[in-house]
Amino acid sequence: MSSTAHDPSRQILAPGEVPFAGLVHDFSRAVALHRVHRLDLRIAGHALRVRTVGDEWADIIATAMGHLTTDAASLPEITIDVWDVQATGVSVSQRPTPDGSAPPILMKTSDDGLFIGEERLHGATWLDRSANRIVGFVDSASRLNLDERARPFHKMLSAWLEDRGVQFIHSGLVRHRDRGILFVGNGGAGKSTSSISCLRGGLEYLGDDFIGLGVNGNRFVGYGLYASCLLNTDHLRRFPDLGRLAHLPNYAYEDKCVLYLTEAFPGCLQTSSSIDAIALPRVVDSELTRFRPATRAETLRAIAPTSVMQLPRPNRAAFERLVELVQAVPSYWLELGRRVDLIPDAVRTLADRLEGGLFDTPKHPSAIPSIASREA
Amino acid sequence: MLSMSSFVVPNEQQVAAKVMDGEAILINLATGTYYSMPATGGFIWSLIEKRMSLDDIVRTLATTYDADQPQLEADVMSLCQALCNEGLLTIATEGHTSDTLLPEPGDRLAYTAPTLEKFTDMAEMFALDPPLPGLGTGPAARS
Repeated sequence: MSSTAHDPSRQILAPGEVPFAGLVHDFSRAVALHRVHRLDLRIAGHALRVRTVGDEWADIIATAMGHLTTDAASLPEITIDVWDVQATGVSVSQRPTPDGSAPPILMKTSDDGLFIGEERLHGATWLDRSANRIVGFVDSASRLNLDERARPFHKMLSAWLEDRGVQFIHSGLVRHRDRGILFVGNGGAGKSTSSISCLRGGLEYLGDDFIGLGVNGNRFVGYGLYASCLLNTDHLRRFPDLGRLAHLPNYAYEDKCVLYLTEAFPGCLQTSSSIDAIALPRVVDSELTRFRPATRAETLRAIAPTSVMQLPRPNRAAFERLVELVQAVPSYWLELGRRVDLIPDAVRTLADRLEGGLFDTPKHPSAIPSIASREA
Repeated sequence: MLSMSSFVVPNEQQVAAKVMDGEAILINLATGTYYSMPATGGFIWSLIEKRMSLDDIVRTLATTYDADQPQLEADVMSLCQALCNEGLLTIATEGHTSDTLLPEPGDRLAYTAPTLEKFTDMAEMFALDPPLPGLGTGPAARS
């Protein structure tokens, strides 16, 4: 249990200051009083058990991650235990005094590196890396931020899976005829527009914003993580029929809404795919969508900073893995035209033009000319 | 204090970098700022990775590009100073001498002054959601 109150903005804690044991104790109090919702999942090949006390939060987690449900008999490699303070009446016995001047999301670690925490004004989660356990609370599920509703436990799972060779990357991923196409770029580049268009157009879908990157033999593999996407006003304009399924934010300053794809496209989400090409979407003033070769430098610039810097701890090894990915598969600019219904045809054409397996494809795809979607 | 006799090396504590297609892509892992140095800049970064002195970088450039020595000296000093200011370079006490690293003289290429393009679009995200303190090989790294 946390021994003393500490400066809430300090990011490195002495072992005695880590609140993990106290949170475990409080969680056990909640379990003793209320029903526990158990969810057994397989994420990026690893068995995960989520135990939630609090109906609303359990529903949110199940909606965002339920597509990863697996056999409950699997022995979990990690357990996530969380409770809703308002729903259960079980308060947090020791928590730092909120610091209004601190960033709204503050990552913390023990000085021995074994514990990693994510603290917000309305809740916290902590990972014990040696015990393979995450424990946390939220004051009320109605106070969760959009990213927490769309991507539950993102930071903690990113840290835990990175220990196991799976790196979260800021990308979308779709598949056509066993060829995975990764969409990369900063926010606003068109990853979600491309991914959702392809899902609507019948391609297999793994994610629009974050993907787990792993290696299987000599192939790079992408893992689907969440059945959700965050839509802004541009997305809702492009896909007006999805607006009725969008869940509104809890806070006025949040300018997006969350869409759970299992509600809109049940049964369409995939959990893993090889990565056979990288596409760099960008919106252009054109009717049609086209693709043309991109340089490896352009691709690395599009994928590396935004992916590496959103890891719990940015590091050189993560950058170097992305260098290897960029060197291994061909890259293309995907110039998105106004006709979003034609984007899937362009992506299908791109996938069909890829030759052989991952490491059989040419490093420089100059042999493949620019192709307009309508030619397909 | 940076001088032409200084050996310069990448700041390995906080920089991830790669030269691809002649363009150097660099990330300052401590700040989230990232950089691009195409063409001559990418070549200079590849020389910096070999722990050369500024003098030797200029000598190597002089055998590669069609440019005057004073211009090369000014450009290399200016670029390295900028890289130091961004926390991407450090000054080393020793490095490699040019005797073993100079390329064979040949037809020299047209010269364009090196440029350092800086991208700060991740700063806002960093302010709201800063990463764990300390830099290392991953979550296991001790701070």
